[in-house]
Amino acid sequence: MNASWSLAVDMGGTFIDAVALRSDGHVASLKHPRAGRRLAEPVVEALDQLCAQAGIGADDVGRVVHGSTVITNLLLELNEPPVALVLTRGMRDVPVLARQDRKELYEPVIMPAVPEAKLFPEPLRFEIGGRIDAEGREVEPLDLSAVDAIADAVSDAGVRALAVGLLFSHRNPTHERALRAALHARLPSLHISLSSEVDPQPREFERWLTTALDAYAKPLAASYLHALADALKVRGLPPLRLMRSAGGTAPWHDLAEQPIGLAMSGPCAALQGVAAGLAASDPAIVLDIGGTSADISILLDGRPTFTDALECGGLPIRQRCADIASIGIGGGSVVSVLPGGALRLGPRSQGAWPGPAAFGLGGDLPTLSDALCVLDRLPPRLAGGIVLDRAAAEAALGGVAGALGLSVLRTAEAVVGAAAAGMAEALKTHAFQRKLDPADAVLVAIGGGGAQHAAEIAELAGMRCVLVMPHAGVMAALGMLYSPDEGDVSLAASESPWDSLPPQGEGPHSLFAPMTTVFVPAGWSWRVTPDQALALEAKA
Amino acid sequence: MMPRAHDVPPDPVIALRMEPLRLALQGTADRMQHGMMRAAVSSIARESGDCAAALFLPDGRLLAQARSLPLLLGSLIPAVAGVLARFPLATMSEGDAYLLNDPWSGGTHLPDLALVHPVFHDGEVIAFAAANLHHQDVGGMAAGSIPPDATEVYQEGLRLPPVRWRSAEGVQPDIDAILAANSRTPDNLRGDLEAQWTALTQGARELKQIARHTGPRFADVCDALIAQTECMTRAALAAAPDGEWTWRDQLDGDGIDTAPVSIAVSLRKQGDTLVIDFEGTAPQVRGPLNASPAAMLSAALFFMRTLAPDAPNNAGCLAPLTLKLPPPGSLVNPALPAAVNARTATVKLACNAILGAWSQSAGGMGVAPHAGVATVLALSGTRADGRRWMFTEIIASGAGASVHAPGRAGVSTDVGNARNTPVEVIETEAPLRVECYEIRRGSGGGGLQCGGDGVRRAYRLLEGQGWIAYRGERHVGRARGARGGGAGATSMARVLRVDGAIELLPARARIAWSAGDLLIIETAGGGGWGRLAPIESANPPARSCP
Repeated sequence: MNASWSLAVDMGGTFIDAVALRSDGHVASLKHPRAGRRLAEPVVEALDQLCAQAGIGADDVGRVVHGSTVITNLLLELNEPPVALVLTRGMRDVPVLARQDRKELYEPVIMPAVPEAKLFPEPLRFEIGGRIDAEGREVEPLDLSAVDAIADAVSDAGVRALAVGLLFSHRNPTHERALRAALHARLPSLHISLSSEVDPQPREFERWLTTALDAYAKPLAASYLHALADALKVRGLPPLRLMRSAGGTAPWHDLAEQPIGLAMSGPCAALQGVAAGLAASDPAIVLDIGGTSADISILLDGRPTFTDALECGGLPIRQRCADIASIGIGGGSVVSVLPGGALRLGPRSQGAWPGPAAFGLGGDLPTLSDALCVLDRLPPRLAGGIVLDRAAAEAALGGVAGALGLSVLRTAEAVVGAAAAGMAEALKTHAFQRKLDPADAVLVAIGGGGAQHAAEIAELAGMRCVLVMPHAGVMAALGMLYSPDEGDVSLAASESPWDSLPPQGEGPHSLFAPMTTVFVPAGWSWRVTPDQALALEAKA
Repeated sequence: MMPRAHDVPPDPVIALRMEPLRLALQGTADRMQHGMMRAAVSSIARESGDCAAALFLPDGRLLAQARSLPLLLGSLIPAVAGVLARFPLATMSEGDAYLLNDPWSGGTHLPDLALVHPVFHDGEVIAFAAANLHHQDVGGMAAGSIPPDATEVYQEGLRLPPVRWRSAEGVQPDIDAILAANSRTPDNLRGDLEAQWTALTQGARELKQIARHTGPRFADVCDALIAQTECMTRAALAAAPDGEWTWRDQLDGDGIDTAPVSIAVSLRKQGDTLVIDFEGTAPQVRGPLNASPAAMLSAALFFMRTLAPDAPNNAGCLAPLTLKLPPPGSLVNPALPAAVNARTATVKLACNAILGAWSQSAGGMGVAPHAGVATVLALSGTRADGRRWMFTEIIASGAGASVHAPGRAGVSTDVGNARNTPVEVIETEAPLRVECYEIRRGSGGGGLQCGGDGVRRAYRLLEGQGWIAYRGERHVGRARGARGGGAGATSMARVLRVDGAIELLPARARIAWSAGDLLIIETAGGGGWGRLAPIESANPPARSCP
């Protein structure tokens, strides 16, 4: 290939990270604020800016890979119109009854397992006759005479997407396929997801809910990906590829057809980036902290681990994806004090918009980032150009300090300590459940906030060593270019993001590197390793 | 302004460590639970999660609980107290673990063995790690040690007052020999006890690390967390109006006789304190539905935890409570040798009676009683080719409504949290066709907010012969509504024979069926909330239930 540049762009909740990698290993990158709820436009803006800055022409580009939290956020927010379901006769309530257990044991009012009205209200859940048995044999033919009435009702309701879930379709998909053909004959523009294609595995509730969520995401995913692909075409850039939750990339239209495969796109990319960049194959726990959440995952033998189940906004989704525990703690997590004086962090987040008070974007609730700002653990100016307003951070934390009876400074310490504890507990639980004692692993910090909290978390989890990867702030974007089907790439060793830092030293100290802030607590030292990672080590 | 825990300025050293310690204790208890379930041998613990883990302070106060079954969690408190009564702290050594199941020394029913392990740090006991688990068999007159026709505890299995099960040298051979000789499945019993021990050692290891991180004032920070929970619970009580409210409900018989058995509770709330009094409850019954005080504490603890669900998960929530049980000889405080193996139905009903009483307080708080039925269905049979099959599942009922929301349909409530069995699992394992699993619309009580509906499940036997063992509840009694809301529908179970005959099942039944027969189970609805206004205009403000 003549083209010497690869482009990767990762859309997070707060920032868009764009990375350009030249065939000689040279890296250019930038962070672009997402600013509001726009989808395709800011991605294109970030690419345009990066190409302009690095002097890259469309002809120089060999590939463009995109990872996105669009689907994740869509499933968290559930602001799309509901979808219709067609299920086996007698089973239309299965997606609502879920598995009959409840999540919060002691909440007096038991919340629904699934937000039925937002996803698939009762009038949009249809039943159809016909049965396949456990061996995959047809024991009752599909009752296609019901299709006309269903199509009429779906069309009258203005529904744009529909999911089909029939018992044992994972053993024999013929009924589901026949139903799709019959529905398409009546409603050609209807988006249809089949449970036998989205998640061909037993246990009907999990398969049908996953399929319903795939259908739910489809209209928006299709229009967003079309818009993006068109914009690239206009610029003469190569066809868009997307990062999948299950690792590797695929042509964009595959994921427009099955958008649920994007649910863990970004985090999986980041994990691939770490795997490619880590020299040793010792067990590693990867910690990725962003503005709204923290992701924890494990590398064994230098490779990401995978699982078949993830949870998004409390909804179980059954899809092959990188095995990542995601918890709702990030820089934008809101600090509150319960009656009785109990300090809590999250689950509410200010996210990117209106963001922490210190960002000066209109947010006035106290957040984790405000506590870091008050403790001088953030640089005066963040990547993306935001200038921090310390007075606003102090003012926001004032109410919390008053309720706790502590000074603002002590309050900020308590907030940061609670954040570290929350993430350390999630880390320990994730590791022990996978039979790994954190003490036997190294902690790898990535993401905008990973290195900020990593050493404190390591200490709580009994870990002695933290590695901060070069380019830790744009690891997801970089990871897309390392995906297995993209061939080998390697970074030029000459490029170090740590050039502005003293090569070694002892905490407590905040290190402000481009795109990454590293906090070295008391009792820890740091040094830049030969392969350009920053190592933090606990003193004996 | 946000209320403050203390009027004196808090000690910043303690204040800074409270939230990290709360999170660490919760995480540790949860990991004990996970470790126990992973290591467990029998499927009742491994798959259904019928086990629980918790941490305690050296004086027996609850410090943290895993997020698992409330039915078992609450009963660990009396278990630890039972161990401490028999083995004072000074007699304990590093590596010890104590075992008990005796309902008259802090136990509930005999299959639930509680194991308690002192955690030593710098030569002193800083805490206890404790776990209980429902074992497959501890002897008695029937396999499984839950005989439905038992009338004495001696028929239910081996009774263990607190004993030292293990010391630093390992499991005590004498105790181990007695346990093994009294179980139909000794390997299973040993394996599941080891799973409990795994949980306790994991908890102890983590606790020592936590104590090191928290520093020399570990005990003070623990006390502060318990005080915080007490404060939050008292604040919730203080926000409710004072008063006294009573509630009455009934069980569909005691398992032997079908005459209803009544449960009565009164709640007396004054200031920031609460008395829960079960005076007026039926005397001890002949069948196995008696609930020991340890079992009843689960119902009370569950309710107290709902007052401030965001509070740290510890003993502080019990501080404002006085739990009064009738003198020995009661359904809820049975005298030796009462049979107790089926106490779950009693605890669930008692728990919902507390919710019912509380819903009458003028604060508009709480929820209407849940139907609270966890139907246990065991289906078994022989296929046409002679192969035998069997499976058991638990079917949930409707939740009670609250002032702001209708009750959820078909959900595990109160002290239980069982999952359903997927249709595709049932049809793969047994010659059954599940013809429907649906919401039983209209079965929740009416009202401004409707009670949660029960569910309908229908199973057709496809080949051979089989047995239906059905243990339901609320075939006669209903979950009453709160504040004028209607009662939920009763449970129903029937078999439609292939020849067209219909056979109604009572609350507890064992009957035969054969190929072509259809079993239909309908579970009860939860209570509604609020009286529907009489319809006076064309646009009534209230809605009726579908």
